[in-house]
Amino acid sequence: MIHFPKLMLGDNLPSLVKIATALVDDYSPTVECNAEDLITAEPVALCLLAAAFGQLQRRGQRARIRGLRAQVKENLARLDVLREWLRERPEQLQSVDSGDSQSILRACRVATLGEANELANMLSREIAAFVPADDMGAILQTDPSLYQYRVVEQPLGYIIAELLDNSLNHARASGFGHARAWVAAQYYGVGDLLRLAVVDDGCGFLESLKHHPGVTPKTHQNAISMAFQPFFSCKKDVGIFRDATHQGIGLTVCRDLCLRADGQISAASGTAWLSSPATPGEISRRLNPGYQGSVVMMTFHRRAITPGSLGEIFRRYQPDENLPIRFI
Amino acid sequence: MSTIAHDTTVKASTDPSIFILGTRSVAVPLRQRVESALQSGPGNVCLDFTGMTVTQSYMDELLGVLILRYGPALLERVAFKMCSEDVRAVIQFVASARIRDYRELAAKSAIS
Repeated sequence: MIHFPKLMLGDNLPSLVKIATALVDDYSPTVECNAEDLITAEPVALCLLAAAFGQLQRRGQRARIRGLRAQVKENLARLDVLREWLRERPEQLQSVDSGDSQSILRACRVATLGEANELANMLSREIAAFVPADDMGAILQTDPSLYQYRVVEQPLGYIIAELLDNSLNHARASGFGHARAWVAAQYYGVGDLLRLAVVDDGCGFLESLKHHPGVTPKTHQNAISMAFQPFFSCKKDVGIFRDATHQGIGLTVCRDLCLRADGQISAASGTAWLSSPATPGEISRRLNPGYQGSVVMMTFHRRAITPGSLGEIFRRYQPDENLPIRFI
Repeated sequence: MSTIAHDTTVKASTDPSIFILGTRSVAVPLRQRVESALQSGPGNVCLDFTGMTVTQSYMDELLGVLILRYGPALLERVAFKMCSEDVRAVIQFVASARIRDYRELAAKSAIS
């Protein structure tokens, strides 16, 4: 019997990975779970559970969840990523009350890059359109600062698209053609906090970068950290890096967008979990058991995002002076 | 400002539900259209990014690949219309990095 705790939070990633691992290590025809304590699960927990249940399903197993509170079940069943687990009618992306009555969760599974682009557009647009209740009054007064809520649309869409593209492309290039990704977001009726998680069941950072001489020694910790370094997987590494067409800036820009929005970012793969990867504040922790695929989770504040952030970040990393490109 | 005539104008997306062009795969059909237009004659191509945001991955798959194939001269035949400051920065970044890659590869080829 696998027990789900009361709170399945990103801050306790090792516990979440342990639960996901216990699920996939169970080869019983029906995997028994006890969820009577479960009240709320953050995006990364939903993604990890969905990935684990997906693996059970591919092996022809079933999962039986005992004690799931009616409200939690009703809410989770509306999430695309868990619909097969709960055997509910298929629905597309849905918003749900996560159980704590203050937040909204959105989650979806992505199997193709076409789906990834569509989801990045849909999810970021819907989140940007949401204004917390404590600011609704300001709308009536046409407070121009509320424009700041819409500003999240482009950076959020950028981050989701890049993370999903990264997950699926690297997995396929490393022989994990079956890999899928799960994305979940959580935002609140009060305040501007936004949580985002992207999890895949692909090859993980180290497998993608194992032939790169920059990853020395060949550890999960080094691989994650280097993946967030700018230009790490650049074109001049042709023949060394397996999918050498990448420029090696995608994860770096996602991290910088998050940090500029007063955010926190962490990534995990294998037996390593890094907060603020490839920054002076990087903190590395050990995951035991480890996670085969990759996990990226972040929290940031929507109102801290400023227009033009993306351009400012790219100008900082641009290798040469501006070229005479024809902009009309 | 250039007064170059553009024989072919291609919208980056005609789907009103799309505002971000994010994944590499989405760029491939547009790149093929651009490449086909450039190969069909001496005219120029204008890419219209009205209302769009692009990721670096998308732009690299579109523009970066073309630069690696045809060299910096490609930019003399391609123009970018209605780009936001963010999109301009992504284009400048990708073009700058890929021209550098192109020159490094060309130098290596010359040596060997």
